[in-house]
Formats: sequence, structure tokens, C-alpha cells
Amino acid sequence: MSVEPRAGFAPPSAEQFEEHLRAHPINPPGKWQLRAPILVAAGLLGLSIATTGPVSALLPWIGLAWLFGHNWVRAQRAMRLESQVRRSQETAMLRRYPRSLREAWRILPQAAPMPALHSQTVAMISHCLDSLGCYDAAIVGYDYLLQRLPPGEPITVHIGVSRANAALGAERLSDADDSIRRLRGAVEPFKDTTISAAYRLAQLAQQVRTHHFAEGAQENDDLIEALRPLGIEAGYGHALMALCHYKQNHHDGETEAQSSHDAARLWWDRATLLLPPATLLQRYPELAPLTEMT
Amino acid sequence: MNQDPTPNEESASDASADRSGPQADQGGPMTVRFTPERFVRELWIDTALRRTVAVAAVLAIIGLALFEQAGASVNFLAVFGQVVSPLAFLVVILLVVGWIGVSTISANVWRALPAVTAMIARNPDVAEDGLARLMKRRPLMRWVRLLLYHRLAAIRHRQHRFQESAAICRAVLSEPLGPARRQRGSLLLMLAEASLQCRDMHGAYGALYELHREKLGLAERLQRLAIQTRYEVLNGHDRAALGGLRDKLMLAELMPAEHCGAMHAMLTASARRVGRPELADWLWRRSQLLCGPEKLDRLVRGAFAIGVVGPPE
Repeated sequence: MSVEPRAGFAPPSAEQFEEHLRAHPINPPGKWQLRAPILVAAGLLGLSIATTGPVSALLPWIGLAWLFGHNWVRAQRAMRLESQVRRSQETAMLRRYPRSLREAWRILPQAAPMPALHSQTVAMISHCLDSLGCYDAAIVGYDYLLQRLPPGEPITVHIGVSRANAALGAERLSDADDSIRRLRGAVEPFKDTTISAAYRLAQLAQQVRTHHFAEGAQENDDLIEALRPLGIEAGYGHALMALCHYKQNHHDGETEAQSSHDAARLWWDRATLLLPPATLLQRYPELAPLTEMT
Repeated sequence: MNQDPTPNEESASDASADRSGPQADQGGPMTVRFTPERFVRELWIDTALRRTVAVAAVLAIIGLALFEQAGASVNFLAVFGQVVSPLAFLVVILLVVGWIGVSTISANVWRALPAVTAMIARNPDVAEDGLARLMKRRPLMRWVRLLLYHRLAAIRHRQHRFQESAAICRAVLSEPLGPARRQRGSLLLMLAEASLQCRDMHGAYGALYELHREKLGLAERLQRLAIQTRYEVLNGHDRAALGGLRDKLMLAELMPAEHCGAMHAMLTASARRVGRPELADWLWRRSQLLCGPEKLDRLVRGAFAIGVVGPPE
């Protein structure tokens, strides 16, 4: 797993993203805007009934043709936009985040009349920013979505967990603590899913960032199982657990130290089996001491 | 995701043998029974009904024109001119409204389809009930009817009734898909996987061959990779399975954890058979982390049936 290099690319700042969202908010067409084509067609029909002559006979057909043409153009535009968003999502899946971010940034203004597509695009921009380590900017997008999505829905909980992870990345520890506590109940129904796995990763990262290594190391019994839905990204959790054991090593007696060292080594081996050390360090620089064990 | 990969077509077929669909089982949820003849007949009825409305419309216009111009030479262009009486005009408008009404049936069914699709993953039986109700509507545009059958194939796939799923996919693919063409990739993926489940290697090869000629999205490409790898491993084409391993693993890492683990397990089998124990060991250890020993054991015993094809988008 490797992230596309960022040479010559400057991701937007939190302020820029905020401004972009403010300039292009969700703007669905109004009730009258939606009804306008039908009203125009009805008007033409009325006109044709009220008047006589060849033109009046043709008016309803012109009206109908215009109505169909208008709807067809609108549908085509929506489909084109949807396929652009899908392409951009695929680019993000392939971890080409800068390119995906650029595409999504350009799509956002056009997606304003379509709420679902707009939210999807904001989520994608936030995900790309998160993956590029621009946590503050990513949080702007996550907050924007959390204010608008219905609470309790899987996507809302997922974004909440991503936000907590991003807050930890941005070293906003009390903010992250709040988010993690708030999410505890919401995550319950999503056992054995990527949501619960990402939540467990957030809890572990919080323990590491707040130097509660012993606490983290104690909760290793079901960690492999809990992180499994993350796929190879479970490697981040394994590496954090290795760090917990490694740090504990320095506070233990000789016998315990050896066992902590062995445990750290085991977890680090698991982590590097799934992800290369460089990728692990890119997201969690505090893992650097563990590279000596490789 | 199919939890139990064991094909159990006979029992499934027996269970559905006495159904004629769409019908309700004594007030219970409605079911659909598929036969190729019934599929062709439904398409034919839809086409016939729609054409009847269209022909009636044209005949009514001509008839009115002839009636009003009786005795005089008919200038059809003049029909749309001053000579048309308010009655004739009203009939034309009614026919147009009737035609829009017929199209509305298809539009309503098409709008109701996403709810059925969303239900396929959660509760295929409830989805089938919804689908059966939609299938009863007539006349439908050809491509809407084909979309309904595509969803029926997805439901059967989900219910592990792979023979029926494959038969539906074949029937739908044999028709011109029109606007439903976007589902061709999904149909071929289901056909390939269902064929593998039924150990119909010839059918699976044909579907995979067609899939390589399709323009697929990333999710579909990942599904094709998993199915193709399984096909190669089951047929002993181990060198082909291990070809381009680096790229394959990179793509496998984009799959959901279980599918990714299953891919590793399949490649482990190939690596062992071609005598690359170190690679096999590395792949196996990764698959254990991704899948868990119990799941891996089930996968190996079930000939790597992982059910990569989910409900349609």
C-alpha cells in the first residue's frame, strides 16, 4: 500500500475548504423551479385550446417536446456528474488522493443542486484530506456533513468515527475525547463492521496519544478480531499495540520487560505483515522507535 | 456476502418447484418463479400491450380524420390545421395522456426499484416480495422488465440458489438490454460466480471472457479478479493465478477484509502447488490476520467460495 507522492501539490487549508463550502452550499431547486417546465407545457396547451389555426394545433406538441427535451438534458447532466463523482471515488480508492481531491474540489460547485451528490463529494474531499494528513481541513468537511446527515445512520456514525480519528491526528485531544465518548453508544449496533473497527482504532490511538500505554496494552485480547474488518489497515492498530507494549517495557522489571519486548515484537511483525513501516510511520510518526526491531 | 458457500441447488429447487409466481403463499410474502418461457412471455406481453396502445392512437387519429373529411380527399397534414374539430383534438389529447399513463407505470416501477435493491442485502425474502409486486405491473418498458429480472437474479444469488441465478442471468443477457446495459457487468459477474458454484467451468469461462470485454468500474474489476483467481485455482492454473502477483495483491488490498483474506488463501494454495513455500507462508500468515482461522478453514473446505458479488448498486 502506497500513497501517491505529494510533490508539487498543496492541499487546501481548513480555511480554504470552509470558504469553498460556504461559496457552494447545497442548493436544491425550489418547488416552483421544478414545476416550471410542466407549467410552461400546460400554458402552451391552454394557449392552443384558446386559439385556432395550424400553430395552435402544433403548440401542445412543441410543449411536450420541450418538456421531454428539458428533462432529458437535466437527466443527462445528472448522470454525467454522477459518473464524475464515481470516477473520483475510484481514484481515491486507489489511494491517488491528490488527483481525487482535485477532481472532487472541481465537482463540488456543480453538485450543489443535488444534495446526495453534494454530500458524497464533501465526504470524498474530507477523506482525501484526512488520508493526506491534513486533519484540520478534513474536520471542517466532517463537521459540515455531521450537521446535515440524519443521526444514527451508518454513514453518520462512520463519519463521526473518522472525525474522531482526524481530531487525534490533529492533536486535538480533548475534542477527540469528546467525540469518542459521544460515539460509544452509537457504535454499539455496528459490531464486526468497519465502523466498530475504526472506533476501536480511535480508542487505541487516543490511549497512545495520551500516553496511557499500560491501559492500551491490557486491552489486546480481542484486538485482532476487533480490527479485522479494516483489512490491511488493521496494521495501524497492531502497530499502536506494539508501541503500547514497547513503552511499557521501559517501566517494567526485567522479566516483565522481556515479555513486553516480545509482545511488542509480535505486534510489530503483524503490523508490518499488513503494511510497510514507511506507511505506518507516515500516519503515526511516534512509531519510529519500533523500526529498530525490524 | 454469502456465509455458507456450499451449493445446495437441489433442495432450493425442490422448495420452489410447487410455486407459480408471482404469487402469495397463503397470505405470506409473494414469491417469483422463473422459467425461460415465462420470461419470454412476459416480455412479449409488455411489447404487445404497448404496441397496441400506440397502434390504437394512430388508428384513432386517422379514423377521426377520415370521419371528418368523409367524402373529401384527405390531406393528412391538414389534420393538424384548422379542419380539426374540438372532439378530434380532445381524442388526440386523451391518447397522448393515455400514452403518458402507460409510461408512468414503468416510471413508478423504476422509482420503486431502489427500495427493493436496498433490501436484497438485508432480507432477500422481503425483497422478493416487493419484486413480485412490481413484476405484476403491466405494461412495462422492456428495459424496466429486464431490470426487474436482474434484481431477481441478485436475490437468487443471495439465497444461494445459484442454478436459478445463472439461468436468469443467461436469459437476461440473451436479450438486447437497451438502457439496462449498465447492468451487463453485474449480470456477467453473477453468472461467472454462480457457474463456479455449480462447478460449470465452461459457463464460468464464458462469463469471464465476456467480462474482459466489458468496461467495468473499480468495484466490478475487483470482483472479477476474485472470481477469476478462484477459477484459475480450482482449475489448477496456478502459474496464471500467481502471474502479476504484486498488482493482484495491491488490488486485493482494496477489497473488503474477508475477500482480501480469501484472495490470499487462494494464492497460498497456488504458491504451494508451484513449490514456492516462502511465498505461500507469507500469504497464509496475511490471510490469517485478514480472515481468522475459522473463516479460513471454512473457505478452504468450501473451495474458496467467497460470494464476492453483492447486491446491485
